[in-house]
Amino acid sequence: MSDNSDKIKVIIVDDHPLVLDGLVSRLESSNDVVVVGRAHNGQEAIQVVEELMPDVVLMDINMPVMNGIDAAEILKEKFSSIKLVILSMHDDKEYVLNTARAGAKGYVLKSASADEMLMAVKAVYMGGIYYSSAVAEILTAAKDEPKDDTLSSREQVVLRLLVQGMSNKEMARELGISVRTIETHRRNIKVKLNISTTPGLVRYAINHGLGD
Amino acid sequence: MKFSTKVFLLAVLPMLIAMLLTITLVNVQTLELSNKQAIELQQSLLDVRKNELINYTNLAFSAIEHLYMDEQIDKGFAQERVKEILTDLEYSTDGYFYAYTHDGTNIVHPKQPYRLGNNYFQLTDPEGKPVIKELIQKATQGGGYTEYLWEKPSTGEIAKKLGYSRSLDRWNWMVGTGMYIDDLDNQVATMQIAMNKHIKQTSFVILGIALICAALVFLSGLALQLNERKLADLKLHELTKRVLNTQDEERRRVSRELHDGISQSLVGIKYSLEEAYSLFKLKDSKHAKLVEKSNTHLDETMQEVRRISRDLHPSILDDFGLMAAVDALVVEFGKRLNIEVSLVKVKVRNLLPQDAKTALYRVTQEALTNIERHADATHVDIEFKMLKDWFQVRIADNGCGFKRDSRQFNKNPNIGIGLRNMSERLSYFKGKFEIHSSEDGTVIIAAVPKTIISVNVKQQEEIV
Repeated sequence: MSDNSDKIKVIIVDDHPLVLDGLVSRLESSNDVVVVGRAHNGQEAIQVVEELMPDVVLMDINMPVMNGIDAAEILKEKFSSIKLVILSMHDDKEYVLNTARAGAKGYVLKSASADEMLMAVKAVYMGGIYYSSAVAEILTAAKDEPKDDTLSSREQVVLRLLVQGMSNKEMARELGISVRTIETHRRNIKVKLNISTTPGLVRYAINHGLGD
Repeated sequence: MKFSTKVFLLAVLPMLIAMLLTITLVNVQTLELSNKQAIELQQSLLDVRKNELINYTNLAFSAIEHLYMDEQIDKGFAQERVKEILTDLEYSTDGYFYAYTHDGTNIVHPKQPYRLGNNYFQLTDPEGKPVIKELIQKATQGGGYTEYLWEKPSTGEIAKKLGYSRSLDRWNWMVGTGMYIDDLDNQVATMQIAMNKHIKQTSFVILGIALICAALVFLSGLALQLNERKLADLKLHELTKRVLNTQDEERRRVSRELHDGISQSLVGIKYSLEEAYSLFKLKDSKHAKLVEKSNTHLDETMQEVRRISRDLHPSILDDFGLMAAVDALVVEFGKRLNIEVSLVKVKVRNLLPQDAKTALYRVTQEALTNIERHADATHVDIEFKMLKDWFQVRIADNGCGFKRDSRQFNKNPNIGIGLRNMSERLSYFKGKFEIHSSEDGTVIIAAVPKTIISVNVKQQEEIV
């Protein structure tokens, strides 16, 4: 067995075993990459990442228990240094944009070639971004569009905890993230909803069915 | 056949016929009975009169007995006395005694004194009955009744009379008296009229009851049918809702199955094929080409499967929620038709359960399809909004509206079905569905109650 210390450590997350196996063998065909772990859903992915601290995570979107978007948001909060590449069957704009917002650095179609996947892994590892050619133009076209102000899943969780009367510290403990991240979320929520006060946020949340 | 006709033919008509038969039968029988009763009444009244006549005659005979029986008394004197007594004997109105010799000569007649001394053996009443002859005959036979017509002293009219005559054999006399019985006929006739009137009334009452019953049967039949139709409508309504919902659920399931199962398997196969290709590539170019070709086919197949899956159910709806799905729908719609679409979204996500999400998505989709086909609009406003009790979407276009084209609206059942489907989908969630259409365009408002949201959010919290 060769020395893996200088290789890019990758974790692959996909709920379909056949795909997972195929991806592993694809990536391991390269000498620069080593697959250190696998997971079958978003929740498992967070545990495995916490354990193995890879360089790059390749993750599917649609999975049971916790999907790729929610997992991406949590990964971004907890392990901001780890690069995420989304693997998906979908070339729709919503998929590309929403995963980008959730913190993904790359988006590769599952139908892409092995070379492309490797290129993506290497690109994000080096600090860049990588999008499959089929979806890259979506991202460029979207630059002119107004910013989406829908709350992210994570922001919505924070809003819900706020309604329950939790302080930033309590929320940080509850979600296993730093107080600063909570503060960032709260700031983003206020901007998105265009509401400046906490009572205003609570009122808004209750009105939208997020309270009891 | 109309249901009301059926009820009439099967229930009301037989009943009416039965009732009419009953009425006729009752009528005939009571009439018969009343006739019989009339005859009996007449008979009994006659019997009473006959009895009276005998009593009066007995009374008269006891008054003259001592003169008639006593042979000591001079016959001429006795006869003169008897004549006087009989002439003076009167009872009630028109009750008197008369006497004739056995050969028909009148001896006593207080009411018609002109008859005295004249012979009336051949006298006949207006009906041709030899009255005196018969009276004498009955008398000589031991006393008897004779019915005949005679002038009534009190009124001077000819009237029916019942006579009773008895003989004084020793003198060859016939003594008689009579009672007018014309009132008897009148009495019976009056009674018969009263009875007939009563029968008529009874018949009317029965007929009335029959008609009321028939009306009740008819109306309750209709009411029953109305109720059943209502029930059937309700069931149909329930069924439509279920069908729509099941259809959505089924499409979603198949779409998922295609995407999560078959598509992923194809991806796995693709990766294996690629591996095989890279192994073959160096040694066996012929086989490698074959594998490459298969790989291309596989790519096409994958795309096809994905297209089918997406047509069945937009996965965006599941993965990113209603707002993102509608956003994608709107972008595609605007691009394809060059219609300006503005979309106001609700900023929170994952509020609705999957089926409600699908319902609102389908309603929006249906509305856009209608606009594309019929509205001839240049602008569409879509607004999702959280109200106090409702989560609502309002879709407004500046097209021609339904009304102006109402004939086409009625002719084309697809539009109706589309709208009905929208409304059925929402009614499943006890939601709201409104259409306002004018020449300035159409506004469709669809809403689900907010209670759905809180239930859904709570369930999510339990999972997290």
